[in-house]
Amino acid sequence: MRTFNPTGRQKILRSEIQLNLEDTQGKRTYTLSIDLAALKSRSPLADAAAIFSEASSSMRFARYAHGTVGSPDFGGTCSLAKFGSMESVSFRIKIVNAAGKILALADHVKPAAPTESDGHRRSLLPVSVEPLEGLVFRLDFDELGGPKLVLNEALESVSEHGIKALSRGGAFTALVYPGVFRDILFRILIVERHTDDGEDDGPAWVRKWMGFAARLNSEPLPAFDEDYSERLEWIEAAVSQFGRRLDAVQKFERETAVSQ
Amino acid sequence: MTFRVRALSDAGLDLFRASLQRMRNREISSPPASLLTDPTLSFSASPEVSIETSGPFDDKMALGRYLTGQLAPLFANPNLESSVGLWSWLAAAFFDIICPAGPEGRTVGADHRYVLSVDAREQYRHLIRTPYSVYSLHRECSTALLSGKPSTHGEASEQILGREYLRSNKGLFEAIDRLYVQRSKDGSQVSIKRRARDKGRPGTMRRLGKVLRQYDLTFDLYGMSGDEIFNLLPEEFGDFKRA
Repeated sequence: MRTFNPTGRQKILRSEIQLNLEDTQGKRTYTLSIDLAALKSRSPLADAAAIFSEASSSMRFARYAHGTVGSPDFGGTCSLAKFGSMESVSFRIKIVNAAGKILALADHVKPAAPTESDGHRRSLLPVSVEPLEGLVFRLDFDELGGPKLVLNEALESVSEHGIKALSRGGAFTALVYPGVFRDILFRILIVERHTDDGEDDGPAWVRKWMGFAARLNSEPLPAFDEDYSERLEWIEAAVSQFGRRLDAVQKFERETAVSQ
Repeated sequence: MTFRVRALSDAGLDLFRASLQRMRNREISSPPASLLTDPTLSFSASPEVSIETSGPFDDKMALGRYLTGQLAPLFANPNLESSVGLWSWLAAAFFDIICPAGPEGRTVGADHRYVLSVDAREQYRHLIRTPYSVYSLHRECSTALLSGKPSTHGEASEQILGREYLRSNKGLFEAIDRLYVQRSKDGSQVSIKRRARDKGRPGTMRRLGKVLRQYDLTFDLYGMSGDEIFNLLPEEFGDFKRA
């Protein structure tokens, strides 16, 4: 559908934005860069126009300046120290003229997945495509690298729309991710018998997933016992909360609703 | 009553949600008192903080001011600001304030008014967290938006607080204060200007929310001062600008 934009405001495309969250020893920051050449090729922007990024959650706000269109400054890291959980933080990128009018805008930007700053940048759950006989997806574990979600490369939705389109789809998200999360916690807590006693925190991926799970289930992690029912209950509570956060039921209902 | 602040556990949250439904069905008249102290339903928040729930809290401003002062030690840890268990326990503790019993019992609203939603798009409708968050950010400039009863959310709040980039804008709240709040010279008398909360009239707080939603996509409101935003508003706000 064609739309009319009476403000003359330009949209900054997601493909023109690189916004990365970083987590270095608990200190969360983000970096931003914009492909200004691509942006300007679609519509001219005054060199003097200022670039800002804004991070916002329901209770917190931060704003950072990134120079001007003619002299951008994307070198710095922007602190998110005053934010709690990153789950509800969204970002906005603005290019503004001297009169305070927005010339270009990207609203509700979601960052790339958190990365480590040790040079081995990985999202919490990397996604890849491979040939999978008779399966839509498989969860692979690498002892050091952690879990990876593998999609069947033969899936039409993957070949036509790409990995992100399928892996972020409503029904896929609702059905697959809670189960994947459960499998990962089962692996860590039941198979690997991870403890959080501080002596052996395990590899980085375990720490990251356990940090994520702890934000979803505030109850203390039960000690491992051969009858691991308490741990299973803890896992189920975390998965259930994860499903609520994903809005899994609504997402599934929306995507599978029968048109009247 | 005075309580030490706690946070509901998952079992406590389930019981609170179920009790909200039972109150709507007129099966019970209040949430179970055990929510507030039973260690199987809630756990102590750290550091130790106490609250007095009986008030008086005539409006959301009084509630927000009290909570901001009282809860400050807790929020040295920013993760607690999104703690579903903590805010929901506080809603249970202040339930008589945010859902008072009338002659025909309580009118219980949607769950997200009492149990903090995990959906960021609904969190601003929480009847405890929003007075706290707005007052803690904007202090006395919150007067207009927090002028209603603690049990109400309000259309103006819905319009302005529903947009996260407006919620945290200090200049904007200064402009709103200048537009709709009148104070006596010595500051002892504070009131909302006449007709500011009317429905269906130009220049009211409800209209401001709608206008600001448009302006927010056109102007860099966050980069503007309160005076600049005040002066930017069109003539339909003229009566309140001059009042």
